[in-house]
Amino acid sequence: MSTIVIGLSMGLLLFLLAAGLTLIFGMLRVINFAHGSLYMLGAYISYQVVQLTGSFWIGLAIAPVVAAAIGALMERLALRPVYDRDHVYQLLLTFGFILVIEEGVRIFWGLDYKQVSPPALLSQPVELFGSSVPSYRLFIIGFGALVSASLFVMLDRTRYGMVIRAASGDPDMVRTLGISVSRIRTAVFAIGAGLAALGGVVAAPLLPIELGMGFSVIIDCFIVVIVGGLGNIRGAVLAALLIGMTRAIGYTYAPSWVDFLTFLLLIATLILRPEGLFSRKGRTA
Amino acid sequence: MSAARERDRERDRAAGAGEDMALSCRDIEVAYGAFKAVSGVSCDFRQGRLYGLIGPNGAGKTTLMNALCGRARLSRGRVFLGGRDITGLAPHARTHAGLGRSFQITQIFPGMTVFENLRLAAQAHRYRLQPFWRAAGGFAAIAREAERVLAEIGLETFGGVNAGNLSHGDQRALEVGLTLLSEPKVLLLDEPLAGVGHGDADKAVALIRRVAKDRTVLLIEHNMDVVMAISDEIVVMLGGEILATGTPEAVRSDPRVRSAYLGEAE
Amino acid sequence: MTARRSIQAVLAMVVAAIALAPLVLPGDSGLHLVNLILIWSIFAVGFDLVFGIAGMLSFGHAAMFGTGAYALTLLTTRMGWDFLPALGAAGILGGLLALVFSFFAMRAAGLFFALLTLALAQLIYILAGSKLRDLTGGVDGLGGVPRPDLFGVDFYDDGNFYFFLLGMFVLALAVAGVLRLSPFGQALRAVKANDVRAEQIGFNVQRLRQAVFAVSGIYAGISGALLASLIFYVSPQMLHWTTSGDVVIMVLLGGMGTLFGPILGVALFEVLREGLSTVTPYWYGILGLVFILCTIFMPHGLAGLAQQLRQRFGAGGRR
Repeated sequence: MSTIVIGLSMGLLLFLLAAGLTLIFGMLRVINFAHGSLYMLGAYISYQVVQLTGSFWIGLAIAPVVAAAIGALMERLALRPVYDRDHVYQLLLTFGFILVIEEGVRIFWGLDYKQVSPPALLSQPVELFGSSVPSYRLFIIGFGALVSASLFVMLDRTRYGMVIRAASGDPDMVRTLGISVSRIRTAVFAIGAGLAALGGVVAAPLLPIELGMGFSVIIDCFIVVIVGGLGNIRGAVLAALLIGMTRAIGYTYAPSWVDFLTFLLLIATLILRPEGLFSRKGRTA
Repeated sequence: MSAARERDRERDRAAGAGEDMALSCRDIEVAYGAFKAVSGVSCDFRQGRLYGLIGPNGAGKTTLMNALCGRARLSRGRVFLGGRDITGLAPHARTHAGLGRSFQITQIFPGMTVFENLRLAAQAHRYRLQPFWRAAGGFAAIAREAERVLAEIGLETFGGVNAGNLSHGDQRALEVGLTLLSEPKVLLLDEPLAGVGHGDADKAVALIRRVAKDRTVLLIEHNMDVVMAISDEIVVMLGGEILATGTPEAVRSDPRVRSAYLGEAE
Repeated sequence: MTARRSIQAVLAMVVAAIALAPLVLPGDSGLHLVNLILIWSIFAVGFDLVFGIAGMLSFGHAAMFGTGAYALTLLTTRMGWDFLPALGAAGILGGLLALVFSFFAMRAAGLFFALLTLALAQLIYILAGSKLRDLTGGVDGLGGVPRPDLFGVDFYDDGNFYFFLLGMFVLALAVAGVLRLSPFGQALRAVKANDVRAEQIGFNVQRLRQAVFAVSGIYAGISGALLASLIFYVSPQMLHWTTSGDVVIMVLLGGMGTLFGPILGVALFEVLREGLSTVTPYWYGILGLVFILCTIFMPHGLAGLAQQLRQRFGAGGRR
């Protein structure tokens, strides 16, 4: 039972991150290399807020807003001037931001591990179907599902989501309708950055907060995105859950091989279905 | 498996995908999800003739070309070049087999000179393994090939000009030149006249006539006067299928074509 | 055309001045820096064949670089090979690994190629630190990497080793120069300029991409081995993604798609590293900022800047 809970919680956490990445890619055609750094930043901000206020929940509210603001600045100042160039330059820029964000974190918080404990409300394990599971994991599952669901509702049902989808398909058309595409781009990049930081806050009580955490998670995100099908947000859900479950099962039965299992999934995908395990053929993005 | 394939081949031969045909296809289908852009098309293109491929927008003309030259994946059917089954070949291998292709949106190498463009096509044709041991300028044979085609397409004086700076009409001519360097037996030309100004159009038509002299050409063109004037035969597509084939006169008077296509255009 | 030639000549002279500096500099000042620049230049020049010429962005070249370093180390210290055959093997292994990478990474198109190379290199990094710890020495790395033993010269003296590195650098540069101008190099430019047209005139685009990726893997393997030999040490840090990032930064700073640009980029990078790291511990973040600004405002790097200056200066002079 606890394997399933751990797998689901990891999967939903990964999805929060992959969703931001996919959203940005779908709208801006930019792969945000700095996504992992924003996730790390979220975790550090959460730590700082807990230090100052003692409340996990305030951190959960503040960190995404800060990260979204930083994301908006990144998009506005760096990416916007290079949209009409080769996509390589946008990738390179986001790579540059990894270095800057990591350095900023090092200056502010130093090299030591930081830790955040789960909120008091969720620190006790609970009984579920006869086995004891950490309640914080259950919270992640619920919270992750809630955020994912609202994301889908936002994209599919609201006017705002409709505009985003239209703008990612045909920016010129949307522009002629009098909607500011550049403002949508900034907003989408900010939302993506906020989602990354949200993931960082939620993950903070589970693992040591350290400088390398952004990079290991970005690799997992990339694997989710490729296994799920490039730019396919529904594929990303399934891929994230698949990878989360794979890791959880791996931890139980072959802990020293866990890191390789996800790569195995990636390589199997590339060989069998390079367009992504969950993509429907002939349908793009 | 291979026995089954052998049987397929036998059946295809029996079905008339014969050696005397320059290019044939049998029952080919290109599907994007549930949408069939080309559905169950079989046709034969005889040696040395010029075929005009017409049909309203979305009829599947370009997709048919993509299927023939290997850019679109077939979900069914086979393609033969001079009687040889080329269904499994990648686009570059089909080029080497003698199938040339130009595109609706001009595809040249901008940022390189006209001569360099042609030299690239010459070296692509001549070498399977690209030489890497000395500078490309030292290969006299490919330079001669490039010069020859430069003259053939009437751009002698533009050899040193950046290809991106050519007029649209000259870019189209350059593109035809690029395909000529692979010494194609069959040429697929996708709207070579699109966007070409009035002055250049006559030149372009003359170029098409010239290259069609000793080759099989399949031509997509929207200008009916031009197509009817230069084609030996017309193939009409509608909804991913072939509606009619025949001489320009026969097609013009075909009531099905009139109602489905010409009627719509008028 | 002549303007471009004269820029080339100026860049070549700058590169020569950097590479030959130890001959005129007194004592050993700057020697280590130039040795580093020579080695990283081999890496960068090979990387630019992929990035600048063929237009493929790889974030996984650390894997080939580190593999070369480990190959040389293990073959010499554990198998008793001589230096030169081990160096050759390091290059070949780098090339083979690059082939394997390209086989998988090319299954995804465009930018996703960059992601996949990054992920595959990370796989090698994790492998080296965990499952292959007995071989690689884990995070501690391996010491005792030898230098060549030739003509009775003492290459353990940095001043003598400089000449060996200079020879390797000139060789690497010459080979890259010929490759770029050869039909093979021209075909790669064609693939970068328009891959649809390149395929349609008969180039086997996938094969060409794979070939150049393997060649740059050889460059990476050899340069990694030389770096290990210079510092007598190899660690998983050479396999780390920051190493892949460093070479991307170097090539972009210097000017991708040019023969001499990447070398200027390496020189600037190493001088920044040397200069800044003594002043501030945060030099890598500053480098990141410099990189971001260059990407926005100077996309063609130092070599492109030289071109622009020449144009502005030349135009001003004529008026």
